Amino acid sequence: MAESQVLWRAARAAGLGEADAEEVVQETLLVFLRRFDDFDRSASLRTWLYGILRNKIRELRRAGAREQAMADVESALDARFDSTGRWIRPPRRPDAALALDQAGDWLNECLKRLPERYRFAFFLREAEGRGTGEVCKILGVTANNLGVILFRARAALRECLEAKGIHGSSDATL
Amino acid sequence: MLRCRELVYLVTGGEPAAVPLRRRVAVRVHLLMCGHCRAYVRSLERLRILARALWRGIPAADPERLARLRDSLHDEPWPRLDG
Repeated sequence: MAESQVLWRAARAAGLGEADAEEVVQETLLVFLRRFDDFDRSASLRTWLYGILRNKIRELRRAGAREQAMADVESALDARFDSTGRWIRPPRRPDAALALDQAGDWLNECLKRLPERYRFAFFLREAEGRGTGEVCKILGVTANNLGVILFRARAALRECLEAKGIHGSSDATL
Repeated sequence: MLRCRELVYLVTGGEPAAVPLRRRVAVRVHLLMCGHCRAYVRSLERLRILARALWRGIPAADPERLARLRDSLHDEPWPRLDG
């Protein structure tokens, strides 16, 4: 359909590469097909499509920023040590009483910052306690990939919770 | 000698079965001596407990149920450091 050409050009004009532009146009058309009944026929179809496209571009950028943040997890962790591997910035002591009341909400917030596959891998392995072989199959990744994903997910979540004041105590109930 | 950074990478990797016995012993010995690394390992344990609690719908403000959950974690990847 001609509209898809228009959308593709708009996505490229918004600064997306070819592959990303293709993805957002595809996503936009899927929303269009699913929600066509909601479309107010007196309005402009193109304006409606542009609105969906803009949302899809925003979603893609957010996901890209989350992926980038995960790639930076190791360097953030390394920055906590000196060149000999000793702590420069050791884990912080938490406010245990505060932590107990808020820990669940905070973990939820921290989880939202993870890209979806990181969150899913973490859920399957840590919350469900599934074996690595099974998680690899479910996610379609190699054991090495899963190792990297879980390492980054744990490090990122731990860091996020610490920033909120939860981690490090020797005697909290958690 | 195991350095703190190395230990942190090993325990965050979370798969002790894949770590040679000699290294696992080194982790234990290091943890006896290093309070910062103990705090780090605890924070990872707490993350797992919190995650399980969250997905099982246990409020984090319920320390008794959380303690029971902690005790039920039979597959804890690294040694508990309660003592």
